[in-house]
Amino acid sequence: MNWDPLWLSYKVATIATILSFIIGVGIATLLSQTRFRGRELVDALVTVPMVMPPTVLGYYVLTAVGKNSWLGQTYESLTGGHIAFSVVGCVIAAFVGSVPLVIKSARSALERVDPTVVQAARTLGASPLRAYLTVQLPLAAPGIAAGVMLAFARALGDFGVTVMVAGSIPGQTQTAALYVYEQVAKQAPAGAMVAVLTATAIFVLYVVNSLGRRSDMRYG
Amino acid sequence: MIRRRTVVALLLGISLSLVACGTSESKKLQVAAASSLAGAFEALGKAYTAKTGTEVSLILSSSGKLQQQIREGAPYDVFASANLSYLNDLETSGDIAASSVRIYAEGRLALWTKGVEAPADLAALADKKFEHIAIANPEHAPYGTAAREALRSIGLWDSLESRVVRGSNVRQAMQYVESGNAEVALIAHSLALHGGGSFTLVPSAMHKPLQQGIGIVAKTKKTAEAQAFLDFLVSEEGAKILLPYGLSAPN
Repeated sequence: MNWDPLWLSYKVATIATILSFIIGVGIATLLSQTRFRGRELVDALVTVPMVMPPTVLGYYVLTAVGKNSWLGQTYESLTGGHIAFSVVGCVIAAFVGSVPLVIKSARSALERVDPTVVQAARTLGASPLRAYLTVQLPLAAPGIAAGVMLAFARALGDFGVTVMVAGSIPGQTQTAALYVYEQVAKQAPAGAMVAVLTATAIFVLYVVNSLGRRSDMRYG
Repeated sequence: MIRRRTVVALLLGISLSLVACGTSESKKLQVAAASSLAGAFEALGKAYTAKTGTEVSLILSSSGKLQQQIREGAPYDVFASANLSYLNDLETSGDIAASSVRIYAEGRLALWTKGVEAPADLAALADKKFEHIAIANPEHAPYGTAAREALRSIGLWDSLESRVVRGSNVRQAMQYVESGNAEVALIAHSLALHGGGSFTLVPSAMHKPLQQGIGIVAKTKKTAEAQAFLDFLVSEEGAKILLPYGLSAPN
């Protein structure tokens, strides 16, 4: 069995998860800490990739980052490369499906923190930013971590978006999910890789559940 | 409690009736066809429905993928492969009815572009201006396999491989060009003829022959209807419909 696609998938999923973490927690902070008109609409817009058919999502992504798109051309003028059919494209494909999981979990974890604890920090003289960073965010950490783990699992398994934007180039953009698809279609063995992907997913979900229990204990 | 039970019963009722609606469609002839046959078989299906009243529903995918599905018992009635060997394998394993397979055309490979003139020959692909060359996945799509064979025949495959992007079938390879992300695609002549843009035929000597075959799925309960569809396809009338797609009987 050729294991390169699996390493590529782990690499892509790791980068996509880091991006999802940074951007996802940022958006969740905005949604949970501030009130503005259209807040729930923004929430819906950033969550919709979770429930859209992956191929539709893939079409959007291909159109948004393709060679003729504004993003694609900006990227080309900066780096000389292309997003479509590159590892960057794979990362974006994995990111789009996984960032909503971080946003959803982080927002709910942040909103579940007892407001009186945050108020206590404020009355003791902490600035809103300090109260957020040193009290609210740490208390929400297990919930956020669970979301990040789910995002990793989702990123690792993305097929629908990746198949539209990656071009399945062996050794370059052929992720584990694309490889398994190809193996099955050509009636070649795929069992070992399927087993590793399944084991990873079960492990991640196990960790997510453990984190969930910890966060329940915290909230009492 | 009673109310909850009523809700569950109602939901069950609704889902079952939806399933029932689904099964009433099984009067259609399910034709699994290679993606390269998209336009040709749509036209063929329409003409056949007009003539006989039997509806034809097309399942388009790469021939390899369809072969795999039929092996796993997919409820298709007819399988039209872009490569005879996929049909022969299924006939050997008993998944395609014995001696039902007919060869009706020889497929051709074409270099296809959109918006610009297609390159004169395959050798032109060495030019770095073709940053991405789209093909169907050569591991399970016959036109992808032929594209790889053709590029190998002129010793270009190894140097081009990193620029070759693979669609999961030949239609997706086309879409890569349509969306402007690949400059050129190696696709079926039948699609290039109706895809707009510009194309150059690849000499058929550069790859193994792409014999277009069709056969009846062994498990079908509609053998007679499936046979009638095959007869229509190889009839003069059928040949007339397929001709504009570059699909004509090999002489």
